[in-house]
Amino acid sequence: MENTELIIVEVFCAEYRVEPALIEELNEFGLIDFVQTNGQNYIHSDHLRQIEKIIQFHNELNINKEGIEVILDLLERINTANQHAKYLQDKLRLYE
Amino acid sequence: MEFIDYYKVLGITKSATDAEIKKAYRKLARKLHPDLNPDDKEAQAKFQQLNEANAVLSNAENRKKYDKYGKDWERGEEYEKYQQQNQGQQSRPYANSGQQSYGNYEGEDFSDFFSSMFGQSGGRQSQRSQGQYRGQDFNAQLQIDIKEASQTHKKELTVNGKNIRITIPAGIEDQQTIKIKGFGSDGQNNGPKGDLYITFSIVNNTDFKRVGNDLYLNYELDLYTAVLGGEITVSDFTNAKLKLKVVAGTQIGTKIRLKGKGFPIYKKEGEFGDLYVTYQIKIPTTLTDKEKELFQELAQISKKN
Repeated sequence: MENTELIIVEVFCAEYRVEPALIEELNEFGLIDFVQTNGQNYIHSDHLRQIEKIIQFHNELNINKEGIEVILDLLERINTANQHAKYLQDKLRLYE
Repeated sequence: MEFIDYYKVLGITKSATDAEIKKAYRKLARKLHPDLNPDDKEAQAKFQQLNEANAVLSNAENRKKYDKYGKDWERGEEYEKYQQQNQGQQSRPYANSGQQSYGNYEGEDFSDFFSSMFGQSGGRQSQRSQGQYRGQDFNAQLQIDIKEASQTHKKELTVNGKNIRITIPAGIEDQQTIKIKGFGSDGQNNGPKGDLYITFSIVNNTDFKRVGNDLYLNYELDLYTAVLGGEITVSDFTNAKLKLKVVAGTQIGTKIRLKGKGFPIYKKEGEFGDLYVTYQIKIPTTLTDKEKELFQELAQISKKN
């Protein structure tokens, strides 16, 4: 069988041992996005890495969805700041 | 192989209760979790030790063994005897059902100390079932030189015994990571494969300095051209010759921008950054008597003006 790009939400929940209610809640909150086709909810395989991360934050670190949203936003900002720092470091090297 | 003080790792005393261990572990896990510390190898190493510490100290049997033989683990005959007697149990050091362990990160491994004392296979059992559906991601580092980075080119790599051919787009940045979809390990139960993440390290042995898509070059201008003006030829990054007019009275540090002569812009074919040429004026250090005389004459004229 071929690996598919879209994973049925129920399959995802069974494989990752998470409650469907949690995934539904995360979707409603906007932390994850379902792909809807023919009335069926799917998760795109490209989003799996991010969803795994969200579930780890939730299940392992006991962080609620509001906290996860803040963390993801801050991680994004750190990433941008790191890129900016790299740019400035390169620029500083011009004067070395 | 170094002894690891798991109590120290958790920041607790030897008399810590199970609740204190759990609390210390949770607190540090929230601080050191790899997802919260991306690209921080130190945090990842500490997190690994933290998981080990928790695996050992939150399990009564392991804790007892660690407390008894910890520092002398390599020598003790008694330890050997203990090991033989408890072989069956050793393969399952994580049998404690109430135990929680955060792990299953790429590259995660157990320290030699831990493996030697508790066995590597047992450690694996602590990894959570999550994430096994989608295959594990692989990370790789690839070093290329700046000339290679300036051209879209193909490269063959061997990752986990498999040869793969990748296309590296021109303009890739130093420390940039690209994702090669589906080149991680296989998923389970028809789950998707993991991905391969390649981080590039770009070595620059040229006279050009790169900042983003722009290139910077210092050009040594002779004194006379700087004073009187003239024309010079500069080689750009592709070695193409560029003729530049130098205006009379050019100062040290004057910067000329050559639009579109910089580095290729990543994934934007035909688009380039700029090249900045900064003039350094070369002052003559050895003068002939005649030259010295003429400079003195110039100095006198300058004073009069």
